[in-house]
Amino acid sequence: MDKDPFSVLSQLLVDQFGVDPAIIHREVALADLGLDSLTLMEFIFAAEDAFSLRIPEEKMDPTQADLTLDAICKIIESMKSSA
Amino acid sequence: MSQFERVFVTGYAQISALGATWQTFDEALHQARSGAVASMVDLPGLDSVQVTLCPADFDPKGLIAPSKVPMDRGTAMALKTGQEAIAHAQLDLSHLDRERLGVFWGSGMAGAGNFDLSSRALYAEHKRIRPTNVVTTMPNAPAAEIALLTQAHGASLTYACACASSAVAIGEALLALRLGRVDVAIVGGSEAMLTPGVVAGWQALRVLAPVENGQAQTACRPFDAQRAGFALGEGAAALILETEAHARKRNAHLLAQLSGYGTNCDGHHMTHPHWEGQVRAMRQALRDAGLAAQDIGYINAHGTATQAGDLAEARSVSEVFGAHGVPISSTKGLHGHLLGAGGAMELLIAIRALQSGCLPSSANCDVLDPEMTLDVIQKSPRTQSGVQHVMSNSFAFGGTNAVLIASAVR
Repeated sequence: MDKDPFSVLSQLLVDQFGVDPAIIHREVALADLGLDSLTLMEFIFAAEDAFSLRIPEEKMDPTQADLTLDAICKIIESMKSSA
Repeated sequence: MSQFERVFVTGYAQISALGATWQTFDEALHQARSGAVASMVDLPGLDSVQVTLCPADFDPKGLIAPSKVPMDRGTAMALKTGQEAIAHAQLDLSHLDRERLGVFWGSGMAGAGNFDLSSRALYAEHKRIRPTNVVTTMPNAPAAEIALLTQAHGASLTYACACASSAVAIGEALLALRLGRVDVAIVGGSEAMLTPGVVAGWQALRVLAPVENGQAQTACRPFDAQRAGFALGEGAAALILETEAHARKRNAHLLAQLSGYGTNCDGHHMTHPHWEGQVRAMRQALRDAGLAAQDIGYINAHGTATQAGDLAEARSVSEVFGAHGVPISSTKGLHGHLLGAGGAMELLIAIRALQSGCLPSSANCDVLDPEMTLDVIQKSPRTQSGVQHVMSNSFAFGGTNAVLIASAVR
């Protein structure tokens, strides 16, 4: 089943990190959703598990302050299409 | 003691095998309805064996940590009871001086459940370790989450003294309140260790009650002549402690006074209790409360239903209170042995007995061990009016003894 990264990641943010669904959109920075360095690592870990992939460090720096949800979605989509 | 300000319990909450509401909790205690179930320990390399466990009535689904990192089951229980105790005390956090709010928590093996499961995932299933595994597993995670929840800026301390952990946490909070270090303390303990590797460890120690004829509910028999060990339980209990001035200023409902605390160490043996050390701890608590032995109307015993443990406690209690000198029961046959959370849970039960005048019976004590000269409450609860002071005993592996006394509000 092909899962849409944005909807899956949005659900993760709501269910596991208590993020208000009303403030979730593609261009939002994860820091603005209340994710700090610790929870961001946990979020990326959960996202990787959800799509059964591992995002290489050179593709993404999880400590990057302005990392957006859309940026992660695009990385996941690119990795899915090249898989 | 009179030179110190008095400290009161103004709220409490619990999670255990005895139900999520006070009604189910009290009914289980008064009807001696055990939460024990039979469970198989079935791991590669070990002989399969059936043991008695008391799983808590608790589902952490939907509970999100203030830190937003995943929680060990015990931490989730701690957070939930902390929240509920604050609500029970009607404590308005927005009006608290956070620098004078502390957290004093106890757990014998906090994080053990998560550590066990993550180790199995790593070694047996070759799965990754979560990025937050360290902070999820660390023993002070329960206190840390409660401190984050409440933005407490006073002391946040975790005590690990095996079965006496939360009793020590509560006692040390009492001292901090008396000394004026904090005005309010969120205290208690949590324990969640019913994962295969941890249960196997307890089974290997040969202290768990065997299940005979499928009867788990009667397997743990404190003070009974045929006792054969305990049911490993899980759960949490949280209490709100306040100085008298703070509690009265906000017109808090005073549930009980926390009046006495004694703690010491046997310095004798890792697991074998020393009755002389227990005697000293009980007398220290009585002196601390300014009470005589005859003032105590009920003891919630440590009573783990091991042969050596119950015999030592029977001897120490008889030494302090005289033969058949005080009504006593162990409620571990009902909620199981909560290890580090046991002291808080059993103090809470003793306080409810103080409030209601209904002293719970010692479940499954059908035939009192003839070597004991105790007034064990057997078969059914005892209704006793006029109980003014109750005691809760916690005697731990490692030799730590902790005794708490709660008193009716005067």
